[in-house]
Amino acid sequence: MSPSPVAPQPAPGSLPSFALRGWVLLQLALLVGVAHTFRLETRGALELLLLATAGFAVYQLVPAAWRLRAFVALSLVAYGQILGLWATALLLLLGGGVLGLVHLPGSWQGRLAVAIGLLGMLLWVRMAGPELSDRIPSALWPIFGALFMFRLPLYLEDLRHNPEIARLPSTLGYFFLLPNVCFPLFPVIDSKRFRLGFRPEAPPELAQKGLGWMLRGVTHLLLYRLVYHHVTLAPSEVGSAAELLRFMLGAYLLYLRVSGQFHLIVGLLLLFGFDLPATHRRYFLASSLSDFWRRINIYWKDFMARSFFFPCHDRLRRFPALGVRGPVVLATGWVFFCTWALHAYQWAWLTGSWTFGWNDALFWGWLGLLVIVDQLRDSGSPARRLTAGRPSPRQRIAHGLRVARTFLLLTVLWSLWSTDSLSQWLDLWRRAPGLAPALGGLYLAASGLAAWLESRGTDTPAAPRLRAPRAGSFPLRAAGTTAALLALLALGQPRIYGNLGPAAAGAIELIASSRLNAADARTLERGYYENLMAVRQHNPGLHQAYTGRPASWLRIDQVAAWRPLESLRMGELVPGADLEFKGARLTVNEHGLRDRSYSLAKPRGTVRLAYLGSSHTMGSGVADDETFENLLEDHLLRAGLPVESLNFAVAGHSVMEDRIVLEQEALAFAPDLVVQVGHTHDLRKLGRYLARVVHEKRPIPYPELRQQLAFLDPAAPPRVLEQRLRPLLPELLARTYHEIAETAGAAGAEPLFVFLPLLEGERPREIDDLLTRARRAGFRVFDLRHVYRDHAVTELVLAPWDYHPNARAHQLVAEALRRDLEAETRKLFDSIGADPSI
Amino acid sequence: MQTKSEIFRRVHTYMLQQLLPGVAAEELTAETPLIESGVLDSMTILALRAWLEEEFDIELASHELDFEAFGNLESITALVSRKLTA
Repeated sequence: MSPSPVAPQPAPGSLPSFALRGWVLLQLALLVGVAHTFRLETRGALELLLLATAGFAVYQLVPAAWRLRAFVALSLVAYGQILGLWATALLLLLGGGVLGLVHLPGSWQGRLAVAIGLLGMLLWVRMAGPELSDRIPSALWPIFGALFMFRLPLYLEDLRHNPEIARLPSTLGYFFLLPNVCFPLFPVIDSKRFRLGFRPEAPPELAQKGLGWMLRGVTHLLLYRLVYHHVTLAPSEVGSAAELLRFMLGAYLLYLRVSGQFHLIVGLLLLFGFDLPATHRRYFLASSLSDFWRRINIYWKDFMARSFFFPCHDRLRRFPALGVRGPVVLATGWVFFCTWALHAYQWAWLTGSWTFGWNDALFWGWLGLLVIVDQLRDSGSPARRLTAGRPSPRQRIAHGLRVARTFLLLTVLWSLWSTDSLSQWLDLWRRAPGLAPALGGLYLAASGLAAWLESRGTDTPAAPRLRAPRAGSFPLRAAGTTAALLALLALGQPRIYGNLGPAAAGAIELIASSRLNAADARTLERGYYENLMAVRQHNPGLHQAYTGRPASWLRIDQVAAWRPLESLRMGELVPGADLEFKGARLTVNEHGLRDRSYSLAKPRGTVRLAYLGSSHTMGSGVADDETFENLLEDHLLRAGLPVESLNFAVAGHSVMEDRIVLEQEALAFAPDLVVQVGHTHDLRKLGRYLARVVHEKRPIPYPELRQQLAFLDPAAPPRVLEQRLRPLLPELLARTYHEIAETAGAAGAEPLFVFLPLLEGERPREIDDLLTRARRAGFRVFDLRHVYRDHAVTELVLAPWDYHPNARAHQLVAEALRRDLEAETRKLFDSIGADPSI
Repeated sequence: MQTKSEIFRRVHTYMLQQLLPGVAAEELTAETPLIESGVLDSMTILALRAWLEEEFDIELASHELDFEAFGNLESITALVSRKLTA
């Protein structure tokens, strides 16, 4: 390991070591406070930080000879605490078995073959799903993959040249790395670096350096949230050149989450004496694509160089016909091919599905090609032409231009990687005609100007700083980190940010909330890393472990109150069901409604309301009398209006199912008002629902819809079908709304549309689009977008892991709708000539 | 047999002439981090390897082209010395 710029001994007169370590501990506690205040990542990550803080305190008391064992023990405690004992025991058993097999006597090639065979077999079991692995907790697989998929071959390579490393504590320490339990997407830590970097008697300066990196990680994660909420756009939202630029910028900047997590991970390891290098180095400031490759995910680059580039170059250089450049070009191409393939392999381990999209291949292909071009350009001279001294102003400007053009190029490439398909990406450019030539012109102008500036002078690029950066005074560094942590902690307090003006306060509140699923519809379109880290989507078991959601917290289709159907409806509530659902009593009446008991025939002089919708309207997680639908009914009755309010909503319903319920069930009750409750995620839910309908070949009784979906191949996986359906969804949603409104009107019922916001947050533009569709369909619209405005989200959600509205939120909705609905109902009494007092 | 100091001197000179022209000799010390400071990357390691093999008539395996052997001038010197005595 290269010597790290940390002072081995405190300078004379400095604080004693225990005081420095105490100060580090204090900063770590502050960092936990910041993570808690801003709800960074998951609850599991917070638990990990708390454990690491306590573990760091104990670690200082452990003799140096026992510190590696102490680190392993702490790691295993963290695994047990976060994943659960059963999953951790299985992980140890499985991992121990794999490690035992690869340590059997034999040649290195034999061991490698065993390792590859075992990883392949286990991946096959993981991909086979519940049929083969239903006894194994689903949370186990991504973590097992994260621990072994890359580290096992690296360990074997290290073992090949250093057989003495096969010792239990260091092997366990290397594989069961403490932060890995909460971060399945993990830097590829080299076995040799890990082994040689461990310093049981590391000075507190190393821990301070780790804290600095952790603070940087936190900063990246907070910036990521800013980008997530304020910059990103879904491809479907792009309609102009400015929006396309914003989409590209957002797609690239979202990588901040990866660099944030990696800084946290490696910083945490530094705390325990593992002197590891940085994982990223100002990658947004890369001046060429080769430079970018050297700065971003440095561990991956090193892994590729060590395992693929050098071995490949070694073999190829034996062929003189290839010259000097041939082996370099071919080995670089090999590296990018392997990077593409291994990203698919990583995806398979972490998500349980394959991803071999054209856009992945094109992204890595283009990046590889451009890096090769860079290399060929640079290989004119073996020397780097670096020199001492400060760069001249001309050099600075030229460098800045190169940074700008590289950034531009990367945003374009990243946007390709972040779309579903090449055709979708090309379609984006068609929506912004003129942008491609403009960006191309800018790129060429920046390149040309930089080259011209360089040709005008004789000065050469400045050399990197050769002297190791001075460790600096510990108190100075620690004071800086402490001040930054205290500032962040203060900034996250409502009392403080409340005084910063509405815009700043709103922005901080958004960052401080964990509304990371603000628009799930977009999550699927946010690129490789974003989707890889969306544990909620691809591994509910792991999501449960990270969020603390109890195992008893089930979806409606997992409880006895729901039963599946073979028709165009996926399922329905079971009449007479009575059980606890998400912590509240849920009863289903004789007609299969989550509601009170009503007769089929409408009593004379009564106005009936029929509610259609999904979980928010059904009242997931609130008691029977606490749903806004029942609260409104009670209010109208108290106001002297003889009404019956019937709740036809079923959790998980799409609007298509609402239409079917209206036609097949609700109209039989002769409603006077049909209240369709909608959300911005109706579009996504409709896509998911229709994909399933097509995939399961469910009969579609509507000829027009059947014809519209005829182009889809039912054999395609639902995710693919969903993607293909996307362009049609706005029209399909509008048409379904139209059918509901028309059907209600034809039956003599007034169609009303109530927009209910999601507590996860959503974009005003999406709300406006939805309401426009509803109005055009013929609904009278009640816009409740501000219904929760004066309340903190945490006051209104069922639980930190479940953002459905709680009883208080239902009260707010009922209060907001009360006056309007009362007026509507009174109008109806007037129009039908009934006397409400009867 | 070349001494370690002789090996060091030759590698030091090569580095200054080929990779760091204009840098003062005292700036490049035995402990200067070469990989972390960006002086050496995959491409320059290949160039340095080719030179070391030719200059000292040794052969370096691909697994030796890592941070441990190429981390600084001291480790490069140790690698070459080890190869010469092997």
